[in-house]
Amino acid sequence: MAQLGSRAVVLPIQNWHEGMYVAQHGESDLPWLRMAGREGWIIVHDDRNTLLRDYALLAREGCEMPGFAVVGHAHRADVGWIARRLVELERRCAKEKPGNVQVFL
Amino acid sequence: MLDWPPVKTVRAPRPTGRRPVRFNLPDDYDVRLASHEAAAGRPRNELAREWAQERLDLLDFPCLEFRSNSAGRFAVVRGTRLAVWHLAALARTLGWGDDLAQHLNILPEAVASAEGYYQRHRAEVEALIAANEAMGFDEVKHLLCQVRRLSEIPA
Repeated sequence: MAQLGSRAVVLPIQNWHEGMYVAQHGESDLPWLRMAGREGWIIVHDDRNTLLRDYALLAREGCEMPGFAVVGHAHRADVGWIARRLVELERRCAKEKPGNVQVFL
Repeated sequence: MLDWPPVKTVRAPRPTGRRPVRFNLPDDYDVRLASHEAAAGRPRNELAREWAQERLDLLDFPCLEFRSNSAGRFAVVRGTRLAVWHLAALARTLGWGDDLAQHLNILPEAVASAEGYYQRHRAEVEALIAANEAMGFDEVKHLLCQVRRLSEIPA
């Protein structure tokens, strides 16, 4: 876990809920997306075709949504670029609810 | 139904020249298979083929597992949710090796399993990468109208 900027916390997905999310075998992401929404996380990822598809299903349920920040193909291996953009995201979206943060970095 | 572009692929095209495999299941397994058949809305021969293929792949690539979501079923590094297609996309920049393992904080053996799976199912994995890359900003905005570019948000 690392502090980022002044307020946000970055939590690697393998540490979320003591690794229970990544330890599941063959299960859907949907229950965990609901939990991320309830807990107010913003998910940073480069998965548009599978995770965002589930995210869209969640939006139709009308429940509390997690936010998401999509990393572009050109920068998916560039940790420094991603970190700088997340600092900028925090600065620009400091007053928004996490679920309303739906951005392409 | 969601107005979302169709999934490009989940499985590679069927190889030709396959031989049928026949086997009998104990009664209780037959009932359970019927239950899965109904839940998935797919015939049992299709499910059995998928399970057998996955099981054989897992014997060869023990650092992998399979995971489902609304886009289908795909191979991931065990205990990480890192999809093989994602590793393959990163490997275009970092190569299949220690740099990729370090970048993702996973064991080199996991990268080797993913590379092996990629080599065996190249068409399937490449199609998943292509499907992901086809989902640009405009396509996502079509479905999730709140999505913005970071640069559009006032500083």
